Amino acid sequence: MNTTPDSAPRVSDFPACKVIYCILPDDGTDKRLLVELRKRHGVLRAGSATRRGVGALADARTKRGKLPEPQMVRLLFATCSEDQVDEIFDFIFWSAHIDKPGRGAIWQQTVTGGTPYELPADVPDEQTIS
Amino acid sequence: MSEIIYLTDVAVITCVVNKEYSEAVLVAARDMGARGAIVHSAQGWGIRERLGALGVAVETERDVIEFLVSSDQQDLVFEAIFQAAGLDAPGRGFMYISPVDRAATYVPEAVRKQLNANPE
Repeated sequence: MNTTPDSAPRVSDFPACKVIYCILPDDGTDKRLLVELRKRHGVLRAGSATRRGVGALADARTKRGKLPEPQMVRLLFATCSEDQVDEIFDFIFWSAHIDKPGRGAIWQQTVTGGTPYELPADVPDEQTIS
Repeated sequence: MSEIIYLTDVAVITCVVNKEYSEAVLVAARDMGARGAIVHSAQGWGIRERLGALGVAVETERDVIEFLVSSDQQDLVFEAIFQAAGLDAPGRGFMYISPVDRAATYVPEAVRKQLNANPE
């Protein structure tokens, strides 16, 4: 990156924003949500990753003192501005059916600065299964 | 469609620990009331190069374990994890707490009714 001292970006150029994290079952919900977040809300600073989920509610099937077998889950993260966050939080909550048992959890954190992100113009849309 | 119950006074505890201590960490947190955790593998890099003998780097495979806990619980869970993982030993790992603005998840109907009857 070729920058001069005057043009170099500073942390203060990047405003505080919010990050929404969401634990989801590994059933493709994350991919569907990422498409919807981009199309409906213009959220590009988002992604998902695999995690091993260890839930206390699974203890009923576990021997005393032992941990339940972990399940593969997806952790979705989406970065958005402060004025978008309420709408996006509620959208993910209802779209992922987090109000139902076993559908995961969602939470929101503040970050003190975040860079913008744009996709290159020639990137094709993801393939969706109809 | 019912309303979202937003949970405030919540925190995330993130613990980066050698893999062999992961189970102890999870059990300790669960015994202190943590309702669940998410775990992923990570590889350490950096100062470890100075820790091994004869230039052989020490084991760097780590687990990163995250717990979503209530603020009431966070100190108890934090201290229990610290003890269980022996985080006062060099090279064992580290952890931190980050504040959460709000969270939401499934709330059983009985709890929902109780909250409606007694919102305080």
